[in-house]
Amino acid sequence: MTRAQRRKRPGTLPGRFGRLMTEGPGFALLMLAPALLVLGFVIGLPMVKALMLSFDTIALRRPAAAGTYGLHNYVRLLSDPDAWGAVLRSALYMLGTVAGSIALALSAALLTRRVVRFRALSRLAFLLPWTVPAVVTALVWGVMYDGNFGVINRLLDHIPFITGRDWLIDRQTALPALILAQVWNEFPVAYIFFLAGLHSIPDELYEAAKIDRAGAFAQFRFITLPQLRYIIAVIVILLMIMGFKSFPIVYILTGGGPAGATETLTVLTYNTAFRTLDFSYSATLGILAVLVSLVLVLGYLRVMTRADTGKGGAV
Amino acid sequence: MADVTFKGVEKTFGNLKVIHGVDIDIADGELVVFVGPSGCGKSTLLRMLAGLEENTGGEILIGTDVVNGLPPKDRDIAMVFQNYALYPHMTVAENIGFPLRMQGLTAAERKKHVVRAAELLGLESYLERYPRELSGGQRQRVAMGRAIVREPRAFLFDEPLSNLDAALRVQMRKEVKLLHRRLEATMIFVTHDQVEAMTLADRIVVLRDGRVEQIGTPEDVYRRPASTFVAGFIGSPPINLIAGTVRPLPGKLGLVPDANPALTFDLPEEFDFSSGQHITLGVRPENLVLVSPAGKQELEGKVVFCESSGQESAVTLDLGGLQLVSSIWGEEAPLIGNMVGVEIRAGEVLLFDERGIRVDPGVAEQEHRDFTDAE
Repeated sequence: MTRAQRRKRPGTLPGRFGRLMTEGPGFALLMLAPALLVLGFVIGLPMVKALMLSFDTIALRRPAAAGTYGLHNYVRLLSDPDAWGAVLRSALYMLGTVAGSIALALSAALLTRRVVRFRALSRLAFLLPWTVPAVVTALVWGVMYDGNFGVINRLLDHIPFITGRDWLIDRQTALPALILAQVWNEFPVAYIFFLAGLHSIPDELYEAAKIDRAGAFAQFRFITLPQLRYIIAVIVILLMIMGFKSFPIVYILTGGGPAGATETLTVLTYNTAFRTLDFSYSATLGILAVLVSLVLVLGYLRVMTRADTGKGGAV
Repeated sequence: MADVTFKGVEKTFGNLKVIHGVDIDIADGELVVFVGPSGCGKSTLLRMLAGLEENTGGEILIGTDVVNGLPPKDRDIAMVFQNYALYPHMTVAENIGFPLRMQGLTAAERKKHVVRAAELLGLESYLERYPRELSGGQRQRVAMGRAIVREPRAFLFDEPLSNLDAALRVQMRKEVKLLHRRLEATMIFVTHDQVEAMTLADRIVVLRDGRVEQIGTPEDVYRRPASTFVAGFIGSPPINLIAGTVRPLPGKLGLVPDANPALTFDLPEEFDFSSGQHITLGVRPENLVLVSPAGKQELEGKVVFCESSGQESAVTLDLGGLQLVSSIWGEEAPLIGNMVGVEIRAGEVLLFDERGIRVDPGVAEQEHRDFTDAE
């Protein structure tokens, strides 16, 4: 490049480095740099820190062991019944919230799909729980579940043969009670997806099915469900991720109790760090949670790419 | 198979009445085409027969059963939709077999019927494909396969060919006709395309603004249209309609067109019109003969426009403000700007009274259905 040519393009850097930064992948990287820097700082750095912590020995009970790096936390994890119990409870919690949210959201979407009068109002009613922060949800449900003055037991007083109980203190009911609160809080996410999905199914398909002598259930089974299958797959995985990561509702309502009956992996991680003050082992549990989430995210990406390549879309 | 009857059928959407008391009798095994411009109510009539819309008045009968209020699945009819309405997540075989599955047939029984229907439509090699992997014509065939796989009491077609390209449309038209011949089934076909109606139908029902304008064979509606509307709607290029006033001529009556009062058209003697009556004279383009060069004829016009499709040319003539179209076959069209003589083929005129209703020879005031509805 001659001096004259260079003068024609003001602002370009000279030499090979200049070309790298103004053309091709180098240029893309340059443009992404601010975002990458921020993300690296707020996500990458803590992750690296947590990973290092999981190999270290930072625990209040063994101050002298700090700086001893090794695999000991992971070895301990493999044979820790509390940790695997927590994974199991997390899985139960996740499956419960997914099943409950899908069922509730699909019912609500089917119910409000054809509403003409009070259309906006009916949809708003089902979206409202989403606007309530998880912490507030937990506090409100905590009051409702209360054994002495909770509204749920008050209502049950009027129904014969069913007696109220202290829902969050009973080992049998604590986890289902938490799942219900979480479902109430998160099902609107699925609802809005389903509503959009239902509206994208052409009426003609239902008309053809009616002519082909399909009843209401057959229309649901052979038209609605298959047409929604990719949306359902995406929602299932999204809700799994949300359910697995969920923390505030469990922590606020039971803190993992009674006697560990609701101690999910996230709550166990928190308790290990801030109650037992074993920071390194807590980081190890965190890494385990990340690995599980990673599997779910990979599943999500797979479903998304399949849906994108048109394998499931309408004609 | 069964006959189908519409008895005083009405339909109101909110405050808007779209079907005003329609009566149609369709015989068992007949192929009837509902035709009319968009908004005439032809699709609504079909959808009411299918049970996808409810009639707000009158009765619809399939066979001897009044089907008012019956859901579609209990009417035992099959329907082919304009956009095919194939189930996108099912293969061709599953699509065709779906009505049988709903009837509770086993997979083996279904397969037998599906294969037979596929053979009839030339779809054997596509059975495992999905609708998105098929062309428009193939999709249309699958939709037809889904209809013929069972034996419904009537087949309904809602503009099934309008999404196909011209060549394919002609081919599918033929296939529908052959299918009808083979199945000897009652078929009702809705279209806005008058050529489709003419070529397919045993009988045509011409609809206009939610009323039946005429029911008849293709020959009937073409040669003996009930009204100026039917005359204008059926036939391409469209009929020449010359509105004018009846004036006495020496020994006969003539028509002085509104568009050019200097002209006079002789009226056939067998018609009984009175002087001063406002009537319409209809001449099909093929009955308007061009004689070149102009000279001896009473009428002559200037060629202003010419559309040729090869074997046929539609020539637009200007007769001092009155525009007429002549269609000529197998000969070269005259050049634009030339003057040509015009003759009307003897006896080939249609006459309509001031209400636009066709008048037969020798009858001045006929008993016609009153088209000015009392409502």
